[in-house]
Parts: sequence; C-alpha cells; structure tokens
Amino acid sequence: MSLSSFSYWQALSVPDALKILHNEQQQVKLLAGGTDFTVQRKEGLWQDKHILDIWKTKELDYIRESGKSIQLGARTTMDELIDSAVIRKYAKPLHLAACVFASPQIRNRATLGGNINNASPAGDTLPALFVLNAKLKLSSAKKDRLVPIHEFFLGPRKTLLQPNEMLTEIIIDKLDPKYQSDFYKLGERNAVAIAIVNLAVCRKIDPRSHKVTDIRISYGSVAPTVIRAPQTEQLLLHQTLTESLINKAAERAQSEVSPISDVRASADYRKEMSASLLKFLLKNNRS
Amino acid sequence: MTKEIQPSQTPITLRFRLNGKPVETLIKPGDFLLEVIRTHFGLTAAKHGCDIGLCGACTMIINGKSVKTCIYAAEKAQNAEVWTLEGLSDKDFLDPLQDAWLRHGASQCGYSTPGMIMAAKALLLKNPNPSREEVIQSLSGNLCRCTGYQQIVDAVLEAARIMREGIQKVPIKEELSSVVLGKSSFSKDTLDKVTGHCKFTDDHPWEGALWAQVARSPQAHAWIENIDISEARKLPGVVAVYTHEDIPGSKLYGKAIRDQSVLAFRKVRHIGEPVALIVAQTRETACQAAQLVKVDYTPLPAVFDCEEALKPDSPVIHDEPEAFQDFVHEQWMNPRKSGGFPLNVLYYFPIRKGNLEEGFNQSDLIVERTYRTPWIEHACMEYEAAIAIPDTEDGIRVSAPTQNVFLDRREIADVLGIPKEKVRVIQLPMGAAYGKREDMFGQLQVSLAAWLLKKPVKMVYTREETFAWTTKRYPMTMKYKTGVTKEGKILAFEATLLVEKGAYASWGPSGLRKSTVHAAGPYEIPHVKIDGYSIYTNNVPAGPMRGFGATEVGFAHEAHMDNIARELGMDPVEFRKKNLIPAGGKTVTGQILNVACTPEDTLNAALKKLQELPPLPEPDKPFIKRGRGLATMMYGIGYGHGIPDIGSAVCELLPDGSLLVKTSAVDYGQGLLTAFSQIAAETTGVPLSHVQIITGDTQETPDSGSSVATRQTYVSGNAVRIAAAKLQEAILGHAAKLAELPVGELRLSDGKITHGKKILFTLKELAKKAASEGIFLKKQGRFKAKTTPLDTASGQGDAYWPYAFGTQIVELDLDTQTGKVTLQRIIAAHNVGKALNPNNVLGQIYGGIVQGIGMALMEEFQFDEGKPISLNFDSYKIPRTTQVPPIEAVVMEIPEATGPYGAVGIGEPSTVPTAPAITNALAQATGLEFNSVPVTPDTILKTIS
Repeated sequence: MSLSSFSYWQALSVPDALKILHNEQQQVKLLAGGTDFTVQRKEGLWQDKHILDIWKTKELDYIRESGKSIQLGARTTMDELIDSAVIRKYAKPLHLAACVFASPQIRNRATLGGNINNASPAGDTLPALFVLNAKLKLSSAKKDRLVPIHEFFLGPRKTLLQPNEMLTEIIIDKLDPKYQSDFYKLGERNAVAIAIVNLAVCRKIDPRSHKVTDIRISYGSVAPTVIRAPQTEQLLLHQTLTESLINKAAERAQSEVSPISDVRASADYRKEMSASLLKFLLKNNRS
Repeated sequence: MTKEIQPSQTPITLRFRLNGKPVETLIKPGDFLLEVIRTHFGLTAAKHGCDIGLCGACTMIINGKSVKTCIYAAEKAQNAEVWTLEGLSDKDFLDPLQDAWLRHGASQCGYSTPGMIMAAKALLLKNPNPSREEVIQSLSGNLCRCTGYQQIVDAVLEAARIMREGIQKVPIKEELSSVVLGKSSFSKDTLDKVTGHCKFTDDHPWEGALWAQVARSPQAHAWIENIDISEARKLPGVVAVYTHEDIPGSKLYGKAIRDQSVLAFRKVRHIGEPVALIVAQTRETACQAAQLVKVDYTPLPAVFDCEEALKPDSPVIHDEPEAFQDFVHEQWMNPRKSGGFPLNVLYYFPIRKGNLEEGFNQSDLIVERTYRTPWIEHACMEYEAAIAIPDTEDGIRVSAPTQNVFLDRREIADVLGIPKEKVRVIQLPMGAAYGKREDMFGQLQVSLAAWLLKKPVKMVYTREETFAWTTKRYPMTMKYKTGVTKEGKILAFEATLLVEKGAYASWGPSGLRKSTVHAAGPYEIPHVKIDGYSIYTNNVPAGPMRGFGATEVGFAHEAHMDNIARELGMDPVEFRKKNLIPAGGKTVTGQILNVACTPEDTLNAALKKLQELPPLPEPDKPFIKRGRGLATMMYGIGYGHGIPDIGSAVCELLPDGSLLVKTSAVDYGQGLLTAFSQIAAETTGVPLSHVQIITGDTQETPDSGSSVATRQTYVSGNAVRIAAAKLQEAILGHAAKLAELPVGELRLSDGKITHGKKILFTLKELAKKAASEGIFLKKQGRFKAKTTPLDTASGQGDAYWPYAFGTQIVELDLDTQTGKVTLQRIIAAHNVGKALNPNNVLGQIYGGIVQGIGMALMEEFQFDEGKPISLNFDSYKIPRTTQVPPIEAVVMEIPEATGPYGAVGIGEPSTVPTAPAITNALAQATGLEFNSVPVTPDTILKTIS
C-alpha cells in the first residue's frame, strides 16, 4: 500500500510554491487537504509526480466580501464555507453544497481549490460555482490570469491549468436578496456518496411582472464535465414560471444532459432525475 | 513569509504531540499517519477499514478536528496535536464517551468503535450540546456493520449531557455482584474495545513474520497447462514460491465438502482462485512477485447464472472424480451419485407433505410469483488476516478470524499431512463474522508456508481483496406457487429454490436445507412440495451469511403473503393470522411446534406497540407517499437435520477465588463472552468481575462447535450453565465438609458462602484451602440440542429445536419524484425467551435490522463475467447513520423450557423480516409489487412509471 519514493515539498507561501512550480514544471502535483489526491495516488495515479503541499499557505485561506463579489482563497475548506455567514447569505448554493460534501472528517480537510482542480463531473461544489459565475484566478511565477469556470474544464479530470500554474483564488458573484437559489444533491446526502445528479439553480423574478429576469441552471454528474443548461435558461428567461413552462423546461433540460450508466445509477435514471429535480427546485421555493 | 522546503526521498523527522506527549519518529515521504501511529508507536486502536477515507475506522483528532488518517499524509502531522482513542482513558478512569459506550452496549465486535468514539469526541469538542440529528450527521462518515447505530447515538447524547454537568472523567467500576442475569453488564473484553486496547489479528506486531500473498487466476474457468514460478522466485526479497506440488497433505479442503483447492491444480473455476503462494520479506515484494507468476491457461466456457448452469449444454464446473470422494458428513449425498440431476447441481433437498394436487384442486385462487435476492457482501469491518507460527515441538500455531477453531484445525492438519494435535488454532478478537468466517481465507496458505519454511508467516488482505475474494450471501431465485381458499386459508404450497453457490461448496448443503425447511415461513400448510437446488457457477464461492438460507426465503415468503392478500382483497395481517402455525401445529417437515411463544404472539406484540406509539405526522408534500409493511418470521436454531449439535464448557474455581470458564465457542461481537460470564456468575455465585473466560483455543477449550445458526447462547450457554451448576455443588459440598454443616443449608452468592446470615468463607478463602489440600474444583458441562435427520425423500422430521419467532413493522416515505425511500420507523417484536443481557439483545436486534435495511434498499454485490466489481464502500454501499430510522424493539421474554434460564438466540432472526417488511411497505404505498431486492431509487421509479 505504501507509495513509491517521491519528493515532498511543503510551501509556506504562494511565491515559494510558484517558484517550485516554475522550476519543476511537469513533475509536480499540488496537494492541499489531500482527501482526493491520496486516494487517487493509492489507486496508482500521480506515481511519477513530486508533491507540493500547499496546506500551510495560510494566505490562501480566506473568504472576503467586496462590492458585488466574494473572493475565496483556494485553500478554504468545506467546513469554513459552511461556517461562513457571508457564504450563507450571499452564496447559498455553495453553502448547501459544502454541507452535503462527503463526511465530517473529510470536510475538515477538503478545500474548494482541490474540489475544482480535481475536475470530477460529480464535484459537489462545481454546479454551485457555475451558477455563481465563478472566475478562477490562475497564478504562475510570471503572471495571473482569470478564467471563467465554465471554460476551465476540458473533460473528466482535465483542465486548462498549465503545469507552472496554481489556482489561488475563486471570485464569485454575490447573489442579492432578490435572488432565490438552491442546490440539490441526489445520492445519499451526507453519506459520503458520490452524487448521482447535482443541480444548482438561481433565479431572479421581477416582483411586478413576475417574469424571470435572470436564471442560471447547472448540473453535475450528467455529462463529462459540470455544465450549465443554456437552452433551458433561454426558455425560462423573461417568462412567467407557470407549471406548463416548468414542465417544458424540464423536458428541455433532459436534452441538454448526456449522462452515462455506472454502478451508482443508470443513464436513464439520471436523465429522468435531471428533469424531476429541476421541476422540484423551480416549483418549490426552498429559500 | 519564511520558506520551508523539504526536498526528500530521505526520511523526515516527524515531531508532534501524541496523546498529550511530545514524540518524534522518522518517516518516509508518502507514509500515511494511520500506519505511522500503528507501527511506530504501537497504538493500534485506529484501524484500517477501507484505506480510502470512506469508513472512518482510522479517525483520530488532529488539532481539535476529526481526521481520516488512512488518507492523511504523515508529513502533515508535523508539530500537530494528535489524539487517538488510547489517549482518552487511563487504567482507572474513562472518558464519559467510553463509559456511555459501555452502559449503552454501543460496541459489538469493537472494530469500528475507536474511530466512532473519536468522531463523537470531535463533535463534542465543537458542540457540547448536539441534537440527535447533529449526532447522526456527525457520525455519518463512520461505518459500523454490527450495531445498527442506535445505541451509539444514545451513548453520545448521554455522554454530552454528563460532560455538560462538568464531569470529564468517570471511574472504571467493577461488577461485584453475582446476581447479574437480566442486567446489561459487560465483561472485560468490552472494556478493552472502548479503550482501544482490544487487539485484532493485524494489531499484533508479529515480530519476524514473513508476508504471504497468493497469485490469483484471471480466468473464470480454464485448464491449467503450466505454472511457471521461476521469475517470481528471482525477485529480491522473495523467500519462497509454492504451488500445489508443495502441499504435503490434502490438496483439497472444504468444511462440508472437500471440493476446493488450497492452490489450484488441473483447473481453475473462478476468477481469483489461488494458483501460487508467494512468501516474501515485505508485502510489496510479495504482491510484486505474485504478478510474475506465469500460468498457461486453456480457457473453457464459463457459466455465471444458475438457470444457465442447469441447462444440458452448460459447461460442467466440477467434472473431476477426486473432488467428491471425501465427504465430511456421510448423509450429505452427492446428487451425482444418485443420478438424474444436471451435473452442476451441488446438492438437492426435497420436502413432500400431503397431496399437492389435491390442495391446488381445492383452492379458489392460485398465486404464482418469482422472487430474487442478490449477492450480498458481509462487509466485516476487519480485513481477512491470518498468522501461522511454527512451534518448537514440531507443531504449528495459527490465529485468524474464525467461527470454529476445531474445524480450522482439522482442515489445516489435513493439508499439512500432520496429526490434528500438532495444530493449535487460537481465535483472536474478530472484527465480526456474520457467517463469512465459517469459511477459510488465509489460514491454510499461511500454515502451509510457515510449516514448510519453519518461520512465522502472515497474510492480511486489503479491503479490495476482502470484497473481491471472500464468500458472500448467496443469491437465490425462488419460484413460489400457493393455493388458497377465498376465506384466506392456504391449502397448497409449491416452491422451487435455486441457490447459486459459485465455484465451490462452502456450506452449501446445510444452507440449502435451511432454505427448504423455512421456505413456507411460519405458516401451517397441509399440502407441500418444495425442491431446493444448490448450483455451481463460475462466480466467486458464496457462503453463509446471517440467516443462512432463512433470510432469502424469508423475503420470498413474506412478499408472497402480501401479494396473495392483495389478490384476495384481504388485509395482510388478517390473512397471516388465518395461517400462522399455532402452538401444537405442524411445520412443513411435520414437526410439531410445542412452543410457549407462537409466531402470532410476536405479531400481536408488534401491532400493540404500533398502537401505543404516537402516529407519525403525515407527509407534507403531495409527491411523498407513506407506506406501512409487516413481515413475520421463524428461524430454526442450530445445525439441525440430525447433525450432532453439542455445546461443551468447563468451569473451574482458581486458587485466587476467581472463576475460569472455558469453551471453544467464539465471540465475534454478538456478546457471547458477556453472556457466558453472566450465566457462570449467576449460576455459581461468583461475582461477575471475578469471572475469567477463555474461548476459541483448540488446546485450552473443549469443542463447542461453530458460532453459527444462532446456536451458541442456547447450546454453549446451556453447557456453561450445567458446568457452573456442578461447580457450585462441588464448592458448597467442600464448604459443608469444612464447616461441618449440612450442604443444603449453605448458600453461595456474591462470592461468599453463607449459613443463614453468617458468612462462613469468602470464595478466596475456600479456593485457597482447597488448593492447599490438592482439591481441584473443576467441572465440565455438556449439552446436546434436539434434532433428528430428515427423511431424504420427503424431508419429514424434527429439523431444528428451538425455533425463534418475530415480527417487524416498517413505516416509510417514498419520494415519487426521485424514487428515494426514507424509513420513518421500524417496530421489531422478537421472543428471546430471556434477555440475559438486555443491551446485547437490543444490539442484536438493531444490528440485524440495519443489515436488513441494506438488503432491501441498497446492497448488491456486482460481478462482470465472474469478475467482482464492487470493491470498496464507494461502489458497495452499506447503511450509514443517516439511513437508519428510530427502531422500537419489543423484547419478549416467554421462556423456552430447554434454554439456559429460558433464553434462545436472536443473532439471525432480527435480520430476516426487515427486507420484506420494507418492500411490503413500498407495495402498500404504491399498489405495486416488489419481488426482488434491492429496491433502489432507480428500480422504484421504473416500477412506478
């Protein structure tokens, strides 16, 4: 069970970490809480990589609020997201996703940056970040760049992060109180389960016209990456959410997902649930 | 900010505080903290349970937070504050959590206890006043397969309350009374489990032991043309590589039928079959060498389905003559010898009663259905492990988790070709069994290697190996046909049972017989025809699991009863009441049930409880449907079928006045050590804390058979009672002689011999006197259960005694949008005769029910063309705290005349009715039928749409 020999660096600051990345390039894999990485390594992945542990880069452990956005350090843990009043108030889907993330022992360690970099289509926080229009700050020794989250993922476990870069910050929209937002994990909630379907929704409805002025829908576990459902969103935008429209939207959403069958659920079930959950979240205002 | 860079392939000095003390050790990059704490510091409370962060058995508290240390890089603990369970107590005091664990019976096998207590500790550090829901949520990362969680949650809540009162330490108390029956006492082994000092097989260092690993077949069915071990042998660090040619004794083993090879020869019959045995200095080398064993196979067509295996053109799995020459039990006939059966039939058992045709002719309604249960993994939290150590005097000592040390001894001795007396098998504390450990997984291989090398050899499986290569509950297909009158009286019952055995027999014959005898359930039916077939396929061998054939047919007969009631338009309870066997009624084997507690008594008790409880609030959403289902059961305790079913125990008064009890019956978490200690204390008058007990040692303890079939409380409990009663008589006789008083006037209780109000001797004084006079106060007890062989043509006879009965009621909510089931409440009424230890009885009920929940809603072990694909707790789900509803147990104490103090067992019965009660509740909620398990959200939605 023990791993083949490799080098282990511990970085105490971001510049240190970036310097190592700059020098070593291809050979380095970042480690923070390690809850995904160590398991993957036991399964035989990353055997040829050196480890750069950024857990102690405390400067990446923050939740800051400014104007219309929230900045999150990549090293912020799920527990810290759950406990944050700012996240609860302005980014409810992210709060809810963190609450049903794996198990208590894992939530102590698992970081937001890690969940993003792991690039699993089932990553619980990702649909929430998609509807919060997250932008990812990718830093290298030479420069920083900002990438919208929906451009970041290239496929399962594939991202456009370069070998000399690390994710340092996540910037999300603050949802003003006029938004209704929700997150639903289908699977055994709070039971260490990988989601069968994840769904995050946020919407804003004009109080006078009752028309939808903004709507964002994002699914996890139903495609090679987490996705937004743009056609479904288009269908709902500027409309009144009637029962028949919601049913139509649910049908449209089914055509936007492309799930597979695995040991957890069949593709058919995932497809059907993509529709059912959307209906449920649109009809039941849980906020 | 300063920079700290540790380049290294070289060891790192790790400095941290462990249980409050500064420590340091050298680690390699890539070590995990769990292994460092276990091997560098010998603190073995935290366990390996999955090694990928799913089960929580490795939980420690690091810097105030609970952490799964199996996936925690050791380097990360630099300068950290680390606490393990061992740090919570000392020799005199316990943490309130540990004390609450003892008083609530929250530990059974004890394997996941340390992780569970540490997770609870972390919760209470953060939140001293948690709600029940918060406790359940915070323990959702910790798996336990024994307890059913209810007593754990109760214990945490009570500990929290005590700690809020300012109590941080609780003194360890000893039970100084001998009047302990009916009390929830605990014996020393339970104390060890909550303090982290209970040592399971892999918790011992086993200094100097070599590692064994087997090379396994990638083929499901193939001729072995050649085995080349030369490359494997050349790998540095490899000590030896063995094949079947190196086996000095029998190449075949099998506790019921010798059809399985220790190391394959001629042919392999399932993927994963051991082909060669590697012994090396380290596990890594052994695993690497296993990959270098080259075997030339000629693949044969393989069969993975029972019904396919019965077809005339199916590949024949056991074609060889030698496999069936040696039958352990003569009466377990090989059907092939009598002819007329498809060649893949391992065993056949029929039951015939009355005149079936007549029964159907008189019936107004005939209901036919097919029911299915899947492969289910026991999911014992402890990995398979075995150690063999050559003794100086030409013998060998073997330890491994096992349910019967004497049968292990017989198999090991025969494989080594040495007399049984030269083999000593000692059972160590065991991370549960549930039937799995009736079979053997590493014992034979480590014994072979240790014997040939004259060196200690050990083997420890990984979670993946444990899931892939060990026996599972066998899948069954059950075709039922029942004829009833329109008034609801069952007249005729016909069933065909197909049991898939996988590639080898395991305990196939006895399991099949249990299935056939229980197929009709606790109902009296005049005309019966049941045919049971146990069938070989090329899947991994299946074996016994909790309920052993009665659980599978229990699902079928109870789902069937509801299906018939629905067709009759009759209430399922009323329909059952018309057919349940009354006192003095007959089973399908013609056995007259002269029972004090009838199945209907348990049905009524469950219904009464339902009426007493406040009704559940109605579901508040239109898409949630509420369902209520009921199931009842019977279970024949013991080996049955005329197989000698004997319990044996020795009780001895030691010179220090303590009582030593010896019996081979092993405890794997079901609480036998406590039950035997309580029976011995109560019967002799020795205080419970002065009772010592030795179990599971072929040299030290008398053979009391297997810890299976819910038999040990009854059979060995009786043997202990008999030995203890004889010993008390001898003690009092000796005291009477010394005191020159009539023996009838003396009493022995709480460790004192009294005459009227006068204390004549303490036991210590008397024991000392007896020892100085050379008098041994030692008695043996033996008990034989009542059973007769059944007629091989008609299956008629007195199959088992006693029978246990029970009824469960399930209330649940079905989300019709997602197919998700939320259990709301389970009521369980079981007769246990006498609750010798109420906490342990409740623990068996809760734990059995939660395994039934898994069977109903989530568990199915999957194979792909014979290849196991459910390899860890991510793809094979077992219930977690969050999936278990409140359970209301009704413990009935209608004594069984032949039981020790009236007691009968409860280990298996509690599992039997849960799954059908759940599916019956779903059927009631939807008006549809659910005739296979598990019913996952996916299958439910398909059924209702």
